[in-house]
Amino acid sequence: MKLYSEKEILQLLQSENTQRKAFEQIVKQYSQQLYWQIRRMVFSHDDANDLLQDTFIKAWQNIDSFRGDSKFTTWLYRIAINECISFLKKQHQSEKVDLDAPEADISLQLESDSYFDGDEIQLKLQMAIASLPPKQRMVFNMKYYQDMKYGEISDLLGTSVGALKASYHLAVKKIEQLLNEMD
Amino acid sequence: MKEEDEILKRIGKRNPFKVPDNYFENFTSEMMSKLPEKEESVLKMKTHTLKMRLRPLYYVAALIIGAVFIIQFGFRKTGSTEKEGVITKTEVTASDRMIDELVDRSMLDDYSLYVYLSDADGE
Repeated sequence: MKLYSEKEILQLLQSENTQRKAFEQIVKQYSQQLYWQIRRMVFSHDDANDLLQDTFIKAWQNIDSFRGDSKFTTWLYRIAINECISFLKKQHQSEKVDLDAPEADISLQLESDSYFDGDEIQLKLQMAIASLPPKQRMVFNMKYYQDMKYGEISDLLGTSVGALKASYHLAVKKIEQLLNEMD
Repeated sequence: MKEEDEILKRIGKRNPFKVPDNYFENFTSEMMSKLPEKEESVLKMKTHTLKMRLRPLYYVAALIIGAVFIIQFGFRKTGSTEKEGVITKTEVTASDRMIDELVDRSMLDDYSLYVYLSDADGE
């Protein structure tokens, strides 16, 4: 698969004749990384698939409003992040997740999920991650699994580097504590 | 030493999640088939915008109708001691004057007023 640079994609997006083709390239190039970002937040493949599709549909519908103030990938990531956070909020409001013990729900969900093949300790880690508030969960995943720099996370989430460092530190401490309690 | 070292040592970074077979290979074509045509979405947005732009005019129309109703009702009450013919004349003159004033203030021409009143009645 030929990878297009961001500049090339933006040029193709500007013409009506090549806009759809350019968007197809965007879906090809970014679907995997966006999928994993979403999947680690919502755990279920079906939910992640729905949210990924919603992300691309929103991006397509608003593509003309992208003014290039930020990188295109940053814009795309922000849409995915907003979709995830809205989804998790709705999930909490509809009480599909036990607010006092979200990790217990995730444990049941993952144990019966055919698309989860982690061992016991990995299940415990996911349960501990599920106990974090959505934004803190996002920060932890971006830093721990994707090795993203605080500056990059700051661009995506619109939170200061200092606040992100504090958030990650608290997330690590909470996860360690929960893992110890589960042993 | 990194702060997450303890978790890393115990669990590592292996991704415990899987996807259905050929999920990513098929995703692009499936996604593109679900993508709405650009014209459709633009049209939808235009309809929405027009409706939103007309909304204040519906309010003006409703205001005029409300004012006419109040004035007519008010004149009937205050003029109850006068003769019937006189009341009707005053009522019509006062209502017409009020409507003209409101129409002038809202800068509506006769045709637009007719359209907005018809639309407002239809809703």
